[in-house]
Amino acid sequence: MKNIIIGLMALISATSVFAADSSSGCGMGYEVAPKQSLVSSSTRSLVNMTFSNTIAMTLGTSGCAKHSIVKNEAKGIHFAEANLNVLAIEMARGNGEFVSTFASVFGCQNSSAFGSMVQAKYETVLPSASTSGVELYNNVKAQIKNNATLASTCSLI
Amino acid sequence: MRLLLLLVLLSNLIYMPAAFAAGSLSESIYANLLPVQKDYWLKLLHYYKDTSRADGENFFLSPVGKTNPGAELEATIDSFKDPDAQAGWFKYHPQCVFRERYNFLKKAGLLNGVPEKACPDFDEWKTGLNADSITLVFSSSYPNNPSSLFGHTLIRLNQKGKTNDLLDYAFAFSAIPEHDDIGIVFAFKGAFGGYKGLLEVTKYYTKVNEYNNGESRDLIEYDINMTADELDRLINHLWEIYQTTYFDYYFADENCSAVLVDILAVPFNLDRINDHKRWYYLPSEMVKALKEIPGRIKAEHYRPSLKKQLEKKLAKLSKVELLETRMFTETEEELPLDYNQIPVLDGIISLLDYTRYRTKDNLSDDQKVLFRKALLRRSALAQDKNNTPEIYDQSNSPDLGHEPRKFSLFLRTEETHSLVGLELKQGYHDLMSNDQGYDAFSQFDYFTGSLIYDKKLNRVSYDQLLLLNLISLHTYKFYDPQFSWAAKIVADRIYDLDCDLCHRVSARAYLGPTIRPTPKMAMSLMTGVFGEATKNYKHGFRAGIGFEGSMLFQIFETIKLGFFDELRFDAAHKYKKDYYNNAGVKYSYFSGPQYEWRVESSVVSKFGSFKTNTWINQLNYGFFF
Repeated sequence: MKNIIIGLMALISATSVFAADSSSGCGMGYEVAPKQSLVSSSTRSLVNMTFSNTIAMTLGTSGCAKHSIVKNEAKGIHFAEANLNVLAIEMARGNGEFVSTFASVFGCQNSSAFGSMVQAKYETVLPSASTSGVELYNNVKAQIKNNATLASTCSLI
Repeated sequence: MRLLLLLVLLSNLIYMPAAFAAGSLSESIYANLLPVQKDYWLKLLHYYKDTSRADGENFFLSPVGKTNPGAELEATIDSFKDPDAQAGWFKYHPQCVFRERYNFLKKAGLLNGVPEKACPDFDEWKTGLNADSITLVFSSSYPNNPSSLFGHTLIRLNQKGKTNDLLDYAFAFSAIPEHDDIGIVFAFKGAFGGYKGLLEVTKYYTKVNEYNNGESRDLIEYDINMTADELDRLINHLWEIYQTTYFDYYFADENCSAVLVDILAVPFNLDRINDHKRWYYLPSEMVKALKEIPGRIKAEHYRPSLKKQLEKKLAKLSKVELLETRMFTETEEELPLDYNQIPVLDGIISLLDYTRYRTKDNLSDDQKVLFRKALLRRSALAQDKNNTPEIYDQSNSPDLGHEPRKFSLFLRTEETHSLVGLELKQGYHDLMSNDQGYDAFSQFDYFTGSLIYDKKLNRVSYDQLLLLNLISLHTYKFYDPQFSWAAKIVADRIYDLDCDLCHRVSARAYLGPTIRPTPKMAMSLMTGVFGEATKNYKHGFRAGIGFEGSMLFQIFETIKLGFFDELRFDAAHKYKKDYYNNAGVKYSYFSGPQYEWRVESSVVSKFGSFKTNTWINQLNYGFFF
């Protein structure tokens, strides 16, 4: 957790360099925070609502980032933040495309074992309806480390 | 495959050195380019009819680059040679911003002796994309939302060695609306300008979430065959747009797909994929254009909307299970702590998930509690190990639809009058047209005009001038309780008075439920307000309440039948006496994807009486183009 906080702060500092340069640095696209389309601003807001400004800026998904390539270390957090709703559902069932993808961001090849674990530890990894994506990510990571099979096979933890 | 190889070989032509002395920077540089090189340069600059559609100043290195491709070429070469030059939003060296221009000019022999700059940010971006191929993603319309009836497209960059699609990056061109703009302002600015459109790069899962879940739209994914060189050129070009420019956004011809197809025209420069044939551009045209090139599309995949996923899940429930699902979600019945019916729990979860999106995250407190309980309870039961994808009807592919414009000829009788006429419709689809490739039983007609010749009167007149006729027959379901609606603005004929070739201006806005007893049938009942104005009316206008009922049947793939009845009461005057009714039956026969025959019969009552009527019969032949 501590490492993540430090990492986030470092990234925020880096991005704020660009954020400060509003005259020449950010340009058109980078001043527009939420990505919305003409037909559905309200639903876009709903989908993106899980992103706090801090997280979004840190991950280069909004604000003044030079580009939207997500850093490796932030991939899992970004995924958990963006897909919190669907992950909460698929994890309860222990299966699904988003759960499999979530497994892959931890480098877990055995998505069935991963699905089984997050289902069994559901209340631990998602302790409340308001659990954030970052919390979910960290909780799952901790549970992988506690799981003998996953700890030895998930390559990115 | 052979054709592809041929295309690859031909594509090398664009990099053949031009027949001029490299380094000689005169205005003749552009003039001396080979035609295929000129064409490529214009594509890189997004030229359309002598002007670039790119609107960001950073996109041009010459002050006149937007309208003068030769000057832009010269300025680009100059800037590439200047070691201190800067360009784009982040003030990189121009070589690091205009990557595809650089590669093109270098291979064309126009940058001999120019040292190449290191571009670490571009390299990081390109490496991060890790692209191996691309997929064109078509999104169906947003249910019951007319502003998205045309659909949407985006491009997914498939990562090398991937095990899933969700972590890929996606590119989309979207308008950036002001947050506080209301719907009518959206429409106005979309039509006449006012929004800026930007290339957006994001993870594909955000798009799946937005379209599949947030807006309940189907996604059809078309995997594209392309060479490594084509892919490279596409990514280079995406970067130069991404770093420099926006495009003024217009619904009609500078929309999400129009700009995207111009971007794809860079790597596919020898394919004619971005012919802008009309004054508007449809997302389905992009799919059609790529499908028409042999071998370009190698596979198709389908992602059903959240609504379709819910429907599939509910359809699998037994009657008792469905009743229980509805009991828990619609009444105050509490979910027992030891409840263990997996199908019902899955039903509750899917239903509340869909409701959450439909209500824009406005679940009641009770629903939120139930949702959490159902998730916790479900997690304590057996793992879902079914990895077999559900089967959905995928036959209604957007590329199969008829062309949007239509020209018709018709013969008509109006009581004792015989008429001949012709009609031109600018777009797009109506209730009696072939639904293949379109949303079934939908209508979005605009800019339609017709002329008639009345033989008895020996007069030519217009029959109707239609601005808009929109009917959204959204099916009313317990999990999606939305009304259908209709809106129409037209100048058309008056039949309820004894007045030959007389016209009025009419508008209506109706609302009501639609049910679909079978997928091939729709029944609708709507009511709302209308207004009519003409000098032929006693008071010059009518305004009141209208009702319309309709029944539509798709009998075979080639035949449609529709029954309509509309009753209008003029509430502005004596509404009990001031009314008229228009009942009709319509029959369509589709003799080919672009051809249709129609027989229509209607009876319009005289104003204030059901006893005297005007009978109208018509035979119509139309073709789409």
